[in-house]
Amino acid sequence: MVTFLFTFILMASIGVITMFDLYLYEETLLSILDANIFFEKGTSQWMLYVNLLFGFFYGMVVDYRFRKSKKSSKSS
Amino acid sequence: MKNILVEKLSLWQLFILIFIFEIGNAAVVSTGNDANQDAWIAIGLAMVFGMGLALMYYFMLSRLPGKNLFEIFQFCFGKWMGGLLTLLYILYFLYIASRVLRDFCELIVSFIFEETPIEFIAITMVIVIVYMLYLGLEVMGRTSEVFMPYFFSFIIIIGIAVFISGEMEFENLFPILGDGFKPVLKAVFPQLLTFPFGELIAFTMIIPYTSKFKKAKKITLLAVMASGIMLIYNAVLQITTLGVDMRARSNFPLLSSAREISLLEFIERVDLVVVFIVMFGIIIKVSVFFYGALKGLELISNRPYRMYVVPIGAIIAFISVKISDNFAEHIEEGLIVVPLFMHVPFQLLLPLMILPVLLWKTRKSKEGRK
Repeated sequence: MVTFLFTFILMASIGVITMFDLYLYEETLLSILDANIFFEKGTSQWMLYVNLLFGFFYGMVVDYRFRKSKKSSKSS
Repeated sequence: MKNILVEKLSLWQLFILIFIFEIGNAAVVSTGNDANQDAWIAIGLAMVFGMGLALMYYFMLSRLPGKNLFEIFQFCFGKWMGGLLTLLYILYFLYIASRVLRDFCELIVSFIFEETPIEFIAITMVIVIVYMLYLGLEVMGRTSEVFMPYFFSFIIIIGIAVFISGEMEFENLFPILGDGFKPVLKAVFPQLLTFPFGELIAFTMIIPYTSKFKKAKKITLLAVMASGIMLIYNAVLQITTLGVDMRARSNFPLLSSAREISLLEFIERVDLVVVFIVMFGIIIKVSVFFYGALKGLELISNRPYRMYVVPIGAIIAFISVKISDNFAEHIEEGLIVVPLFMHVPFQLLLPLMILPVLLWKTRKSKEGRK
């Protein structure tokens, strides 16, 4: 659930900022999406993606542990 | 629901949180520019309307004591529709948290760490906020309690120091209402009303957890008034020190004003004091919005919000950088898009639409009980 909601919120947030960029700037949807989803080479934006990956894996670990504890409480 | 803790805030902590939250980034970026030299009047007027808004939010919460805004949605519209509204508010809270964080990051990379990537500042700040929220709402309350005296006294001292330095020109405040009342009203609606006063909507997620809910109304109003007075003080300081044009042009007018301080040719460059004020204000503001979003996720997924702190913190850092390419874009979005598509619907329209349904439903449930 944590991983799912993480992915959902991330996509929805990117959707929100893309909509605002579309409203403000005369650019195509694809170019805005490209700028919002991928990182520019040669910048330090990779840090954000590493951070996101960490968040994603953290979510997976939390979900796994939650499931495990649920299973063990059911069996006992 | 598993391991969901009930956290309580004291009334004093609530007061401090609202006070710091309201000043937060409003002290950094210039507010009420449309009103020119009458910006302080516009802020005063917005404060009065802001108190009205706070009253409305409290009224909604008082219909179902102990329940936060998202629980009210579920009470009014059921699980699915209430869940959808909650999701929209989660996105709103996270978006605003990212914007507030970006304000601080821009300030830091413009004035203090010029060589440091903005991404690094964003991630570092988020780590601090994540840690604080992971420890809970009470820790946030206690942290703000500890730093409040510094926060308050530094703002006051900056004004006094600029005054003693002889950099204040009170003629800049005149003519009062020289262009009539129209520019003042233009500054109030929707900008000043929604930022910072309308942002109190985030406190609908915190007020229900105060130790004495009945007294929270008075405390909220007092805090809004105190922060409004502090913002007026700030505006007067900026206008008298920089003048109307410079204030409007400056990205961070409080910082520019503080740079004018020169006491005994010894105490100069007190930028760090302003950075402290801003940093703390922004930590609290981002935390409050972040907490609001986390409570929403807790309600939707039926799992403790602490599970989401780290992953959602990563999203806030990501969005705060991706939100715009530069500061000019960031401010443009903040002035054009955000009030129209974010603040007005989420702070005013939706609560106003929900209010009659809430009144009807609570009356119905009371009659049912009788």
